[in-house]
Amino acid sequence: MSPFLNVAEHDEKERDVTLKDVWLFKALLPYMKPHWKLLALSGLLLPLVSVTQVLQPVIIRQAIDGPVAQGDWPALGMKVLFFLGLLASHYALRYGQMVLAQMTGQRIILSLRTALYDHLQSLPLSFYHKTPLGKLVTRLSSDVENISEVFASGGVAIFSDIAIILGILVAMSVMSLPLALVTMAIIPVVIVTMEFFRRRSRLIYNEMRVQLAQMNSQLQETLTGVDVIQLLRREKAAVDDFSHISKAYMNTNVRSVIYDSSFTASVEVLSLVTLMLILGLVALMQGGIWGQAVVTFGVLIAFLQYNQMLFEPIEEISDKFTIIQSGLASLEKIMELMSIQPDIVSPENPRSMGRSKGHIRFVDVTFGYSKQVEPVLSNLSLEIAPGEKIAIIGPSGAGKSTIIKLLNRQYMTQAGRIELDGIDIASLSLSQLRQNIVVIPQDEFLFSRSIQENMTLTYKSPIDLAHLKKVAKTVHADTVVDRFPETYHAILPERGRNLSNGERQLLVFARALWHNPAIIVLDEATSSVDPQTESLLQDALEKSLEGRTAIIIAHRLSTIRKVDRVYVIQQGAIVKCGSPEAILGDKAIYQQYLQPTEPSEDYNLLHP
Amino acid sequence: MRLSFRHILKRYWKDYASGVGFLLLTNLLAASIPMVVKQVIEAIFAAKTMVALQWVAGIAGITAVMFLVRVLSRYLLIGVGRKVEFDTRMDLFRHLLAMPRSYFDVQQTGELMSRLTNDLSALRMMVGGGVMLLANVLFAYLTIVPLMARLSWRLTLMAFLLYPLVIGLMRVLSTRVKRLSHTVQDKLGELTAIAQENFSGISVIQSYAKEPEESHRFKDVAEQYFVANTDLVRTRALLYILIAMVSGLSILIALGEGGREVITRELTLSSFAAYMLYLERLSWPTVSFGWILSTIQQGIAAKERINAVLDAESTVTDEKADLSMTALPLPPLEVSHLTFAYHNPYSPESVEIAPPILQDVSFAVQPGEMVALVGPIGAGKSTLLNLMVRLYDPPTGAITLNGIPIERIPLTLLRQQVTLMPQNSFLFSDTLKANIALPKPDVAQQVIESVAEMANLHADVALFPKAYETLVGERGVTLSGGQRQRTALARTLLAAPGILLLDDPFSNVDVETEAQIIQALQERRFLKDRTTIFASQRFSLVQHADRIIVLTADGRVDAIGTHEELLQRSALYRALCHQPEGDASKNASEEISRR
Repeated sequence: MSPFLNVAEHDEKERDVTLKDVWLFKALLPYMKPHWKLLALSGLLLPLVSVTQVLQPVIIRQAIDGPVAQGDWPALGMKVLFFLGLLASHYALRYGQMVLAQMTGQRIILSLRTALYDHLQSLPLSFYHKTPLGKLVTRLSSDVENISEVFASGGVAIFSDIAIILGILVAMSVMSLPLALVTMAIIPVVIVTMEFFRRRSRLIYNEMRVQLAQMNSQLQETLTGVDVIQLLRREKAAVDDFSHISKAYMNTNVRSVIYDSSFTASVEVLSLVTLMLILGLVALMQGGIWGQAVVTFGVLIAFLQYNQMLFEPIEEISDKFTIIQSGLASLEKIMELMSIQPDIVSPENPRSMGRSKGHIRFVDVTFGYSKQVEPVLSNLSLEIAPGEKIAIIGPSGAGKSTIIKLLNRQYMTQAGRIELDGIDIASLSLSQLRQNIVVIPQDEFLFSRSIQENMTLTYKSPIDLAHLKKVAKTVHADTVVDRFPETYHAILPERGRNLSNGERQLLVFARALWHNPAIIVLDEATSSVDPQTESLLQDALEKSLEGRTAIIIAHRLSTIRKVDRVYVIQQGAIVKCGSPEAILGDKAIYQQYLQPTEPSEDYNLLHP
Repeated sequence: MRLSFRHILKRYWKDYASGVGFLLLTNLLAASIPMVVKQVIEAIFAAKTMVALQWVAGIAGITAVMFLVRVLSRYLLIGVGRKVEFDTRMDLFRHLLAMPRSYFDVQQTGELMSRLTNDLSALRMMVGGGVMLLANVLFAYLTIVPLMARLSWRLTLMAFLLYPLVIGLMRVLSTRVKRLSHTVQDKLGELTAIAQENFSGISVIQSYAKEPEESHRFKDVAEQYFVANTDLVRTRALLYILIAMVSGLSILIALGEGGREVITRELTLSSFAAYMLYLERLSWPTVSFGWILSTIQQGIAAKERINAVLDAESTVTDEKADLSMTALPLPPLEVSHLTFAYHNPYSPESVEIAPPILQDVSFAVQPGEMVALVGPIGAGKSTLLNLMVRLYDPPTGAITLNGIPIERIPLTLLRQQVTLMPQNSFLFSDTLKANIALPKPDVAQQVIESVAEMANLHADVALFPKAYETLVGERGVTLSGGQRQRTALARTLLAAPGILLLDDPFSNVDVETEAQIIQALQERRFLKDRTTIFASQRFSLVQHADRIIVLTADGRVDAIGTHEELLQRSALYRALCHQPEGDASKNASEEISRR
């Protein structure tokens, strides 16, 4: 079963169907492949490690039965020396195998983690709108860790355990077929028991992973809104809520402990049952039920020993069982995310385009957020010449912000096309398109990083600080920077919450200008700032747009007055288009859209 | 409360004691089986079939009891781990909720999340499974070593000759395991923080096409984590092998020396054979001790990281409060000679002298008064409001309510009486109703609607298909900035304290709506008996204030008075009221007033 989903189909609700282990192993394969040599080497070392271990008691037996019993000094010395050599090679091999297996495991984990991160980063915003962050963070951090545990605990040795079991069964058959058959009869029971517990504990582990993600989501939200909780004294309620989910998680955990313990104990029981069967059978045989005595003392002792040896690897498997099942549950959750296909991707052979001239054309664009509902935009066409600045006004829900989302391909048009410099944007790579267009939303995110990093959005790439300062000065962001003793290196708290709305906007303008796009799309902020900041912002805006094509979802009259053309949008269609003077002069339009009323939340007008 | 193993032991000694008791019982039962088997074999070869079968039935009995006891012991011991995990998680959660703003200014959410999951799971492994395995090892030694000593105490001493030497090495290695675990957990926290932060800001990353940069950033930390982890893995393997080697070498010594003794007739062959069997039985417990040791060290590292969070004391506490106080503190609210700078006690770097935000600020607000705070950017208006509810702690005695310094008032009492509506309108992922009802969750629907009406939100809500049951927040419908702000306002109004602090409450609401809200508040006489202080840029709002406090850019009081008085007296106020000459928006506003 291959659960490929695209973002639209992906439901936030978790599926409770468990995937087949085989499918999961297959899914992990691409991450293991680059390391197959190391994996193979550690696999080859395993039997050597086992052999050098299994030989140890054999040598001891031989030494006791031979040299020690016979008082043979030199032979004893030889045996001791041989034992020493055996020990040395065993430890060397074991250390090598352990380090090799775990290092390879860590490498696999590293590629899985970075692949998961890159994948999530490629998913469109619509995915993020319905997935709690805490869940994604949990998958990337705790779930990947959980898989890493499988490697760390030596869970991979399960394959050598299986080989040992097979070897012992063969040895038993050679010695006494009836007794071997009795022992073998128990193997299917072991398998059925394992399968019984596997299914159940997997479901429990799956549930645990879901609950852990929920718990983390709640934690992350509480931490983000901790101010509000404190100010309204809702600490107790927050604790109760968290305790609720946290307790549910614990209870599931405890339930898993019951299953695991029962499983381990069941394996022990099976081992004893086999012992009983062997002894019982031998007793009956010796008792002459089936005629002649067939089992010698030596064979019986050997069988009892083999029985013990047989169950050692089985118990070993059952010990690792918990970790493996839990790891597989995590892998399943990760693969669930990995299988979500982004519905907006770069074309395979994108057309290349350097710096755009900034010529935008919407040709009969129709779009709806889902096919069932009325389209938000229908047959919309508009053209913006290079360097032109246009404003879009209209009631909320008219489709203003949808136009932006289509332009930088957060969504795809359902019909019609959008052209940039005459090229259909669907044939451009996403990065090339987005490098040319900077979208400034009303409330843009600031990272908890330095101011410099927030403006340049770079990591480790060299920055021309002089140029950055110039850019910041142009849009008056330097007034914000200068407030901090560390200036450009000042680290902002999360979301830049120590800054006022106006200060944040200035930084965002600097960010946009630094990237020097051909096109700027601005969803003008509705929040009011003090008159001085306002005039700084207006000036910053004007300078940012200089020499660029601009689309502004306007809320301020002052902005509208500065553009070349104004489009009035209503129910997804352009109802009017004209010069600012014409639009401002149209009384009907003015009263409908420019009068500061709800819900367009127009700019405040000061009462001097 | 700080996490300590003594407390865990004290709290869960019953679980531990009974768990270990059952474990002991399981071990004893397991030890009894070879004896029973011996009886069966003797019976078989003495041709006493029925006796043999009776003994076999005996094994069945033992098996049944063992199953039960085994499950119980694991359930109890591993269960302790789960319970401790829960307790500690709740302790951490409660602790974090009591931490002040300045703490969260430097702490990353993702980093804290990592401590509440990844570190807790390391802790759980130690106090649960780790203890169980440790008990097993101890039992093995306690039962087997006396038997060995009875056979030959001399040989036993020799076999354990190497132990002291190894203990020294083990200590070195386990210290290293602990140190490396610290690094590993630190890196995991860093990694979690980057993921948290980048998913929060995914829209910026995508719209600036910065995926490669951020991918690089994440990969770097993931690689650092990998490197730290491989160091840890290697050290752990070394520790494990070293201990396994001790067990192997003691067998070697016993083999050589024991063999010699048998040959020189100091020891019988059968005793020697039995001795060797016992020694072999000890090898698995000894080897697993290596694993236990590193689990314990990792657990200790996790405990230290958890305690680093629990040890960070809140600077905003009831330490100086008079806890016997029960009456709500009343206005006048007085600020006297308040000078304040952000010194973040939680930031390791913040030793630099921060410039003061507020300097020598003094004023008093009388009961029922409405006071506006105005001033240019960075004047400290928000800071001043934050100080009044002790989001940050003001200097002792600088802010008083009815003459009582606010730090003397129990925090919950203070915040019951004084509520701040902060600038950013945070909504939780819940229904609109739950978000409004946050201060009083059990309040009736009509009360919610009434505050929503006052906040001019009700009409908007009516347009949503699910009305007040509409989900908002992280994954809910996207409300406009204005709707969010009015939801936050409704919530603040529902809290209905005696003193209302509003930080730029209408910044996302247009003037007309603002006027409607003010009118609704006035009609319902909502503000009449309440004391209100607000910071605002809006002179349409400021004009409603009884008095206005003008703050300068460097955080001093420029002037206090009514609108008219200030127009006369304060040049700064006049400048704040009027747009700079030639600004377009001024013309626009004139244009509007003409119409």
